[in-house]
Amino acid sequence: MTDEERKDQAAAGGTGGEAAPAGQAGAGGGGAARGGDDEARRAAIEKAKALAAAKAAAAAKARAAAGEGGGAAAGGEGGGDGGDAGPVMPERYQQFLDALGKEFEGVDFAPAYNAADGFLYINVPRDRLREIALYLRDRAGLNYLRALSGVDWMDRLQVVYHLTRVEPDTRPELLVAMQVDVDRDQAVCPSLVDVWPTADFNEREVFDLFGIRFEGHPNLRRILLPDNWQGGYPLRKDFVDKRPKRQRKIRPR
Amino acid sequence: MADQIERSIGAGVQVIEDAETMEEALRPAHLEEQAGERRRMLVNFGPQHPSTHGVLRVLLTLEGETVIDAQPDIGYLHRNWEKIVEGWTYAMVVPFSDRNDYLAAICNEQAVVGAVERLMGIEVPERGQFLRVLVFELQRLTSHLIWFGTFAMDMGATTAFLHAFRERERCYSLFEEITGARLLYNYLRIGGLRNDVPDSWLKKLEQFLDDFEKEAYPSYWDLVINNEIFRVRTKGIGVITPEQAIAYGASGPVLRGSGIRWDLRKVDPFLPYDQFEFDIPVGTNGDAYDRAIVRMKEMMESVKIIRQVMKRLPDGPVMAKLPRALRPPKGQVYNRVESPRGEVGVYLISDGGTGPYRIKWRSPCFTHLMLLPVMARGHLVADLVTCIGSIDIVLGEVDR
Repeated sequence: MTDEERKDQAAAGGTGGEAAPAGQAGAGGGGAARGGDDEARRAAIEKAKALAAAKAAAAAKARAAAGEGGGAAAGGEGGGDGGDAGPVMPERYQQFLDALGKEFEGVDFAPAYNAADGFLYINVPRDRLREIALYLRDRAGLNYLRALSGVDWMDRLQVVYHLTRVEPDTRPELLVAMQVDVDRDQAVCPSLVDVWPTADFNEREVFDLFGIRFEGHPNLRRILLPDNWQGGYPLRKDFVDKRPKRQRKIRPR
Repeated sequence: MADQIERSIGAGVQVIEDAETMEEALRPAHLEEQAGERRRMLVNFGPQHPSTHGVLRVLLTLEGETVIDAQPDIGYLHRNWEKIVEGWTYAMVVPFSDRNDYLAAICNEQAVVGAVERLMGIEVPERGQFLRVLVFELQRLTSHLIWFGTFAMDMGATTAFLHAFRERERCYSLFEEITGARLLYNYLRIGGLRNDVPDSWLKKLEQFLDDFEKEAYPSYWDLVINNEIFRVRTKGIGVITPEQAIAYGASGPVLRGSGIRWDLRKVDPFLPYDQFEFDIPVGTNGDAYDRAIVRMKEMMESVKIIRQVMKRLPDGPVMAKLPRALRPPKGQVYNRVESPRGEVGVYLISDGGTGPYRIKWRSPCFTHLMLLPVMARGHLVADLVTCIGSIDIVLGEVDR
């Protein structure tokens, strides 16, 4: 467990601590984690959860004793499976989500707080991406695009924007990741270059390697692959390298 | 005409479609009104140029010797790291990640290893964590030493290069002793470190730090940084305003050079950095000089951290007990570390198997190259070299 997770644990009510004993249980019990024996694994996780809850309570106590501030939400436990079971998220994220829901009524953001990295993953519909992005930048203060990644989920493509706020000497309060689903055959997504200029090269990279067209990008050209590349989109899962295999030269001894 | 140009010098030049002469076609449209009567020239800078730190090609639009526009053209080292590691086991990903930013291999390893550890909730033993901080900062020191040498060389000072490499050589010998390799270490393991360090090694490290602090480091300042020529060549060159730095996603010394005190070691801690005392140096003007000063001061901060780690190094194992085959649960994680160049991020998606479903490498150098046109505009060609040197790029990481 890294140090940040230890801190998160106090804030999020032990979400960071939950997985640690699970790893140990996997180590000790060997087959439980390796063999995919669901029952045993679940039992191990239950045990780990109980341990983590105790640990979190102790940590919260220690923090209170030390007189440290911070919005510590009393917490239960969530599943360790990457946030799909929804671990308890810190208070500030709930406030952010409430405001977001009020602004964009009828949009299903399907928020999932990921205790592993502290990011709140939200789904954003493609046709409202630009207005939501502008809202996040101007009203929620997320002025910094950390990473822009493409993902191929077989049935669809996805663009993920990791956002945060950069302010001198301040720990970022909100870590938000927007996930935008893009159709595989009609891979088009609005460009956000004018919202976060960081998107410029990154969108070109995703265009190059995934074949997602970013509409409104001022200069959408290949960036990493050769200009005359005809071999398809390498990072898509169905990519087949059609180039002839290079002959291996074996030097005679 | 547009097709003709694209055939002769490759894509990547914005051309005016209905132009009749070559010269007219190459005139950047947005600069049209201020162009006046001056003649424009299009010059290829690189890819085989010693000042581009690798194989970077910059398409320069020049007016005399003044840079009007500088568009980086990258991809010469592209090997699609992200595709190659799909389907590998996590243990295989670690040594290959060394090759991305080959001047700061430990930092890359921490980015990958940390992602898996976050996903699985593995707790690294305390001694392992402390030693990670130690090698991490030693790596930062070596990386900044190379930057120092090459940056001075960019401006024509050959001596500094040799001075920097003298100290770097000692660092690499230290690394070689504990990892067996000089450049690409494969030292960090998921759950800890490959091996512990002996006490005798720590003594050698102490000796090196003493020598570095007393002799080498002050000489760098006298030799280069306080030199009048260096100051004239760097002050006011390649200015990045704080707003630009944030908008273009700058991180590391580039962001801090613009006066924004933002260091992941403090604001988004990943290793037990909060247990050590160190300062975050920042610049004020955001020019090449400020970025240089930030890096120079960071060297001393690294030495400070290494000394604290050595003083408080706990006993115990360096490696957590783990099953042989690592299967992180389904899920995703964005792990980030503060490498010498800025924020290195690994966005890892696991499908529950022994290898990554997808890894995205967030590279600081790639992001910083977007700032090159911003920095270079209006300067002389010789100052473009200063601009490239001041963002300290490694092309292995730009192209991945």
